[in-house]
Amino acid sequence: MKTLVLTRAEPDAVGMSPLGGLLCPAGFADDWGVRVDFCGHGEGGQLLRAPVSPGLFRSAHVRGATRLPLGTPTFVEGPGILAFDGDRERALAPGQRATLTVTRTGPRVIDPRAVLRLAAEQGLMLELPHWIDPYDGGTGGGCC
Amino acid sequence: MGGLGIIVNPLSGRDSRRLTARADTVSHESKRNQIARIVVGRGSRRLRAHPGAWEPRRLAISAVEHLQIGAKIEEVRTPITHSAQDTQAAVLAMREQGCRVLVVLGGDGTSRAVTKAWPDAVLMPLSTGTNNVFPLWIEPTIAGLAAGLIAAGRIAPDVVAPVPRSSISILKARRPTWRWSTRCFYKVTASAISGRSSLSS
Repeated sequence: MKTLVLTRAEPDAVGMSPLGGLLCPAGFADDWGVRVDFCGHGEGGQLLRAPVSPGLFRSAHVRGATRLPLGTPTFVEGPGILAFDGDRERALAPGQRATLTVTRTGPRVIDPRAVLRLAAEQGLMLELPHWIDPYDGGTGGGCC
Repeated sequence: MGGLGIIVNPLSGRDSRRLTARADTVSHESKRNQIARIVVGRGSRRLRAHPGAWEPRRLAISAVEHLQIGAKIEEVRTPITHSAQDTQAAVLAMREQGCRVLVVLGGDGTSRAVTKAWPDAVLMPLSTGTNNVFPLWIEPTIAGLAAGLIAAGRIAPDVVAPVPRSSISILKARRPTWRWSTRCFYKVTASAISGRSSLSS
């Protein structure tokens, strides 16, 4: 692996994300991604040990890990393979260049804590219709 | 139908990392149980039918059929190819049917497949995969409750902010080649939502 471009570099994750997250963290709310460049053994860099899978650590020689502000393009050049979340999808021919940009245009992901806090503030869980779950033998159908 | 759609990847949490690492297997029964908790958590009387992706193991429909709370799964029947295309076809059908929120059970790759089909979807992704960053690790009952409030319009979806995505354009295609190379391997990852690639030469 030569380069990682991470939209999330989580230090407490398992997989590729901590390879950036243990050097230059980026959460989903941060306005930057992270680029990590690797090098081979004996080519310099620093040795990083990271959990790449559950119960499995590996070491990688890291040449550098830098923040990528949102909207700022970065480049990689072939030959190589572009993989998206592990799925190897595009080949880069020798000399072929790819531009990678992290933007905040992804899907919207619900934050349950924030939603339920709003629900509490608006009293949305009050005065709802009576709810009987047949699985619950403890109430006998009563409401309190 | 409409409201809250359920996508479940029957293959997530079951790949070779059980052998090459020490990952746990996520059983079909575990996924059924999580779906049941989501639907119970959803708990609305107004929207009882949840569109569910049709897949060979029928995890969503079997999870809900004996709940006896008035909820049911309306299967969204799209062609089965045993690939990520199945997820994308189901997502497109759910969007056409007016789903406001998609609950997605799977890994990073499952959420990525969903957003390739529907880039600005409102998602409640739950992890049933391996090495996941994007989906949440949260009690499904609570996830169903929160997703249900959004799907029913009781909380406006604009409180849900977009997450980062990486986009790619490929330039200077001097001579295209599709032969795999492992010498130089670029990985674009993290939250999975590395979605849309545009290819220009």
